[in-house]
Amino acid sequence: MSTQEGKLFRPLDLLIAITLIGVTLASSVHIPKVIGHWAEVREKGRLLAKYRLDTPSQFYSIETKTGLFKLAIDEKGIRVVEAPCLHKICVRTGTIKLAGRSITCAPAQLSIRITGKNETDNIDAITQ
Amino acid sequence: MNFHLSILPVLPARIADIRNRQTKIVAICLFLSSLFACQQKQSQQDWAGMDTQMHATLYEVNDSRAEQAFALLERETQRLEGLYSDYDSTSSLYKIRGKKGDSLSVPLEVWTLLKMALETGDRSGGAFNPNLHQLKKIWGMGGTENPTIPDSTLIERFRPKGEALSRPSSLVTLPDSGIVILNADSVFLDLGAIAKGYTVDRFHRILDSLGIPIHLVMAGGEVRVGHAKAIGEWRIGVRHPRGSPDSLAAILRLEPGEAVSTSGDYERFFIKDGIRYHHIFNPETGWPARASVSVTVISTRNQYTDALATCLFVLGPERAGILANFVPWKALWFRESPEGLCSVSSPGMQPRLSNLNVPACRD
Repeated sequence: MSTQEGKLFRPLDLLIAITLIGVTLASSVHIPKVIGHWAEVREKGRLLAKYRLDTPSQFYSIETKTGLFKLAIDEKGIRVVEAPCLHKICVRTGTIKLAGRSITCAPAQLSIRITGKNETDNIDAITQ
Repeated sequence: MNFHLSILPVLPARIADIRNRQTKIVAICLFLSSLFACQQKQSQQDWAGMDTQMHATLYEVNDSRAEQAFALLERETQRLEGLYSDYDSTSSLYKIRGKKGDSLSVPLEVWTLLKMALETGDRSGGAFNPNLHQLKKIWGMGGTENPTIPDSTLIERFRPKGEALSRPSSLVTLPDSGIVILNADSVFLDLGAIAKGYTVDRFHRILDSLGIPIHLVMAGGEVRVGHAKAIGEWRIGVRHPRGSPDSLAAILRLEPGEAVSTSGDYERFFIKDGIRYHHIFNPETGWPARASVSVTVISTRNQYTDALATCLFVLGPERAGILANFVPWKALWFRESPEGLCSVSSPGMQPRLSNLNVPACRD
């Protein structure tokens, strides 16, 4: 009796602990934390498409109110290949891959943002 | 019966023992929960406005509150565009045009920002000039025209001269709140180098008023962080001006509530015959400023950092001293040198810098 009282956990305690830890893990899964790198394409804030960046190289066409955008995804990341905007700033921006980076086409109000946890440089944002 | 009688004296001890053990279990589970809570809940939204990309990240708010906040920020963007656009003929700023001597009534919010822009212009000796709309237009840098090198006679015509160059406030008189009197026919105001900063400040205030203190808001290169952060400190990357958009030139530490802005020659530009022509003009020459490649400034508000980044870009580190008594600024320049890209940081910026991977300029 005294030996059992001295233990931190008894079988029933262990069951309760496992249940509570299970609930904790399950609830953490519900938190929409971002795992893995995705590229979100938005027009005026509305989500048009979401692509995984670890897919095989591919081209995508996105029709917007301003015109047709062509995007490319490869091992380097995502880039705008063709854009209907005048200055082509989004095309010249180049390829982005790391979380928090973005490409913008202001005239078309189109944005591409990499979501996911930034393990590389642990920053909150980029000033550019 | 005897059994019940015999267990009675030990019951309180048993209950205490069970409570003690339960406390331990709950404590362990709370510790584990806190580990998972480190991956704090965040909601992000992007939207477009003011010819750039807006962004907000909100921490520790539920989805419905986040949606409400994003909707408010987007509405605020539209409202401010309606005040400060220099291309939309219905905007309040666009309407500050006319003939010399005209007295115009403008919203107090526009009047206040205009006053600040003109004062900044005066204190910078004209390096910051809010009357470059026409110049920007002939270079095709306004967003609606084709970028081009204009004829030199056009540049000469539209670049500010005389007192309009050295003291931009001479363009107008601001006798009372909300009243603007034009001192010239050629007033075509452009608050693009300060209005985005002001917009980010407004986002910050709105989120504070909504009780969302842990946030990060952006408009292009303008970033403002909330008055709180759940874990660690705010770390902002500075884009490498000549690297890929993924690469950083440095990382800055921001204090809670602070603002940071960057002006660079890589955001809006074209290259002709190997020469880069960008959108930040030297008011004195009417040509793109060459003293810097990019400038990043930290201060308490984005309306300061936005304007200062433009000023300091035009002035470069050598001439920036004329602003030294204006505000205690923290600035990081990147510039071209014969040895390649190099960096200059003001004394106030140095304690905030880490991971700087561009060599210091020699001179």
